[in-house]
Amino acid sequence: MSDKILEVKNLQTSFFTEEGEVKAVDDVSFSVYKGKTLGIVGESGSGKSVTSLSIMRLIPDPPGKVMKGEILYEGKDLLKLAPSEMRKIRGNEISMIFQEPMTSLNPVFTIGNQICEAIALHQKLPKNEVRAKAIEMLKLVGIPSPETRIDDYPHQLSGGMRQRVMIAMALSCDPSILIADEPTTALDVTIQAQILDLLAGLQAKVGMAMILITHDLGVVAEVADEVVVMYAGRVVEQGTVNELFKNPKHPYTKGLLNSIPTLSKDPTGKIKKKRLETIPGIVPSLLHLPQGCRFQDRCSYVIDACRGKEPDLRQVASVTGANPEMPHAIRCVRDI
Amino acid sequence: MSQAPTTMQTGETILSVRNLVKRFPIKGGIFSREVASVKAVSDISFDIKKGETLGLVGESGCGKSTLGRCILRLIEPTSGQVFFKGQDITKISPTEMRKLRRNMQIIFQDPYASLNPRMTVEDILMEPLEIHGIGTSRRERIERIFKLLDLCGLRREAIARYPHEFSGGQRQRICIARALAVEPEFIVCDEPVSALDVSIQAQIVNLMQDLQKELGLTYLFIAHDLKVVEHISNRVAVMYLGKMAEIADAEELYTSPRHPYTKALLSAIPIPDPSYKKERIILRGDVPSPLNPPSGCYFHPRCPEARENCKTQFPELRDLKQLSETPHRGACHYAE
Repeated sequence: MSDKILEVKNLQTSFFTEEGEVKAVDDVSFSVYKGKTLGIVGESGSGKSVTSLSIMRLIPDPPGKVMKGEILYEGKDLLKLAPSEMRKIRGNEISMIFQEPMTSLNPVFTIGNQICEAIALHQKLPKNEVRAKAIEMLKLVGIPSPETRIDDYPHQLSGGMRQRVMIAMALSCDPSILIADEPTTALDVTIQAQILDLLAGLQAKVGMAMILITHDLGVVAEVADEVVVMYAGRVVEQGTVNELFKNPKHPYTKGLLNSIPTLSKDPTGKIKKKRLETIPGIVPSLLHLPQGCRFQDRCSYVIDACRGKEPDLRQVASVTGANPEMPHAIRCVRDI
Repeated sequence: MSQAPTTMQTGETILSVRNLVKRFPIKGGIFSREVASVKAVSDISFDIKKGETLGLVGESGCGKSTLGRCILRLIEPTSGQVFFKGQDITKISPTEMRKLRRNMQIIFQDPYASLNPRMTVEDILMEPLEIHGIGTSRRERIERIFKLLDLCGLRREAIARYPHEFSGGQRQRICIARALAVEPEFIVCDEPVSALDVSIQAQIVNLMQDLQKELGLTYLFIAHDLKVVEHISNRVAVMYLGKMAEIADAEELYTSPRHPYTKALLSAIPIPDPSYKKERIILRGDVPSPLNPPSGCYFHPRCPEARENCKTQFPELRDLKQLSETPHRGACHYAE
């Protein structure tokens, strides 16, 4: 059993809008283990990015606020830390890469400047060593001729290169946890393959834990060890990656898996679908959630019991062998 | 909605593109002289048959969107011809072209940016009807708008609403309704589902397929999601740096790709099955700048199969061994 490095317990993050309180993340719990990758899957508005911003304590307050819960990192509750203590952890022990490498780099500074800033802030190194470390990081993420590239501005780099710079910056202080929020969504498939390959290689080398946030189930299947599926602020299903793809139990997870087109030369031997299965309707507004299960209006297995009390997350039997770190659990009353 | 009966049979060529070139000049110096040019589309030829969907894939910057726009003359092509039902539309006047656009429409990627936020759905759908003089009275046009909304799976109440009141998927339905308002025969779909969530993507893909069947539409479907493209297309064309790399029957291209670039693209698709570990061809580097493309075959610096003459000789698009009734063409010296 590997070491638990981060534990999120009953996290609830709300945003206060003119129309009322929006619980963007509602009672979410999960754990992250050393050297492992946790995938968080969901559509837009499911609360997956808010979860990661809550861990980093980057929720803009106001309008947002972490209302309840604990985020335990090496025994410390991050939510109780003073801002100065949190600053020491953020970017140093827990760092993050964002979806848009275009907007998350500052256009008026060179990339070297930006990487050096992170290193200088967290590590007490002489100036020339800071620069040497930055060059070393750029080399690590596979940027050709890093000695000259370090003085480039973000606009001189392609999208894939910018994302590499983001990764270099995030990894420059050897974090124990890397949160990657849709790291490849803005990239082409060939570049996506390069970046995923790079992340997997780096993870194996430095042994960090990773939280991968994505809507792409293909990426999750290839990279994650454990998966949490979120819907409208709730965890609706969780399990190991093998369990979840082999034995999806929640109607939403099933729907998501069925709505991806299969390739005609599908290496897994699936038959190509003539017509895609869809999940009807749209994600409900968090301001007007239905009573009971939040997925009820889009669910084809809905029964009366779904409209009463909201189902709890409950454990179900696993077909790929029980895993004490990540038991298979669903938030659904039915067994389908 | 009834489509005007056409004398054309399925299988007849509706659109032919011949040696299409689009060069964007780059101006510099004090007199804004042309100092260089980017060949965004260079010497592309293909045909589309009536009722068919041709998929067009490639990485960002390969010229696929420019090609789509050149076909409708939203961007004026530099040279080459586009024949729509036998008529060379690159030669006709802008007024005639505007009339012809009744038959040729386009759907854009971003349903947020392509709808005017100050116009209601009624205004949005009324405009093309008025411009093209479809229907005589307001009442008749409103009746048509209702039919369009039904056809695209929107509720009739939507007519009085503004774009911001809709979700992304519904907005894309409005864009589709707008394109269909003038009863076109041919639609360029420029990344129509890329901005949507997975479950919504499937809804829109199904809608587009239903409409195609019902109205006998012909699509040029531009996308970078290779799975969606295979699902919807009869034939698929792969572009690289403004050139056609390979074109074939969809199933044949996906099961038996010949061009090394197509092979790499296909191997980069993440497969949603964690138990499957595949051999992936990781391409090195990024797409080269189209400003000064590499000598010889444009793909040779990244090609794992490149040989000596690839660096100097440009491979012309030629017929390869075909496995189905559709010709299989590729631009590689060594493809079979």
